[in-house]
Amino acid sequence: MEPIFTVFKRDMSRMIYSNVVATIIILFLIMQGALFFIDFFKDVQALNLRDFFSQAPLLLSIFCPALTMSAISEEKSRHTFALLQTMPISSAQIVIAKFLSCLALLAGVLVFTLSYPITLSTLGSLDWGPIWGGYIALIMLGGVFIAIGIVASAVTRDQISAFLLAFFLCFALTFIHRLSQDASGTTASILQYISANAHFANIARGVVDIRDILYALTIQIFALATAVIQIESQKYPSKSLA
Amino acid sequence: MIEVEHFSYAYGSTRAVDDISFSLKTGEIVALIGPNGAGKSTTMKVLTTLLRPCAGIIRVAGYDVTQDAQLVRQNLGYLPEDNPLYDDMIVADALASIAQQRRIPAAQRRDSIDEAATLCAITPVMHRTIDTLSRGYRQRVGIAQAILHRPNVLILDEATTGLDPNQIVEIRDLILQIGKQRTVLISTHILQEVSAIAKRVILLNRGKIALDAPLQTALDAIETQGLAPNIETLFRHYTKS
Repeated sequence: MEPIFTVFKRDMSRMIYSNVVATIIILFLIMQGALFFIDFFKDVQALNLRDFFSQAPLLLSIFCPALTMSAISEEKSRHTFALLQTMPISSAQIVIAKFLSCLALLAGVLVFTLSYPITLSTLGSLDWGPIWGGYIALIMLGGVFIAIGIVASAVTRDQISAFLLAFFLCFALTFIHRLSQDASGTTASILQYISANAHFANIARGVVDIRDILYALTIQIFALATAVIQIESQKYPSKSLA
Repeated sequence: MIEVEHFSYAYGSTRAVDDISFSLKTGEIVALIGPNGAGKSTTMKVLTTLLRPCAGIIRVAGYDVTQDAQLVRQNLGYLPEDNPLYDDMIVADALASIAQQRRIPAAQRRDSIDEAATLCAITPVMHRTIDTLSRGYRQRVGIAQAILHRPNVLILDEATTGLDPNQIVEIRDLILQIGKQRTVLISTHILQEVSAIAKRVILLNRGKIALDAPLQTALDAIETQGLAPNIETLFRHYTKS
């Protein structure tokens, strides 16, 4: 665990003191807050966070890639990744540490948004069950997007490419179900299953289904394993000698 | 300390290193030289477990680079050519982080950092951010990172490139001091460094070993052929088409 913790700590420190990351966090919170409060006074009697949670996938599909874009690609461009690879730490431990540091930062940022339900609770009786369900869903969805962002960061050499690739993948994963909205059949079912939005919507309503959790874990494990394979594959020669 | 037997490496259809063998003993400072594309960096990357060999057996500190990569890394210090540093960190924090990464026991970390800092003469800049350091100090911090865990084997890739003459002399003295207790393999394009630091030279050309001999022996040999006994002539003699 210590090798993971060391990289985790260094990455957390790097992100916390990074002006770029601070700007990204501030922009995320401003956008999230603006979207939440823009319609807040129109229907103030409805004490729930449905609007907040329904906007979250789109915002997370931008925010998470912005957090992860530097995770590996920046280390590659600064050549510190090679240094890291000559230390007693495996590629899997590096990837897990980077995933956990981004997830921890996301969780920290989401703590600031607790001001919304707290504000609502001052106006009347608030059902906290769906709220906590929604936050669990946000963390899980964030985990999926961060894992995808880590892969994008592992396969690219610069932050912009990593961001664009991750954003495209996260956006597609969020909205792929729209391709099959009016359709039925196997393909439509598959698209619905792959879509993060469908799974997120269940948890955000306060319905915690084991299948939705399995979906999130499967995508995260698959994405992180892909990142490990990508890093390890760089060590192998492209062709064996005869 | 370093044993390389019939090592080969290819990038696609291009053989970067072709069936080379050599070994280094404890306390040896050996220069690995050769023209660009000769296979020096590839050899160093395989020795440091950044690449896996296509063929051959490579052991560092008694451990196979393929089978026991983690153990190799624990016994190895490496300064890559581009001297990667965490620029936004304070020197002391960066070294502490590397010490933790190197799994130096917590009780020994302070001593290890102090020892490396003293040896590399970076004590005055320990509380400065790395990106504010001069190139010479950056190089020293890179070397301090590499020796922090008291490795048996030290691999330095272009350790003096880009430094001014005073800094070169300082880093050269540092390497000589470190090399008293460790095996040091140094790759450089600056041939004067070879004669100033290394007692033995391994010259790679087109992926093969063109020369592996004590430097003085090699110079004596070319002198008997009527050539000037200096490192530049030696280099040209073994690498010309």
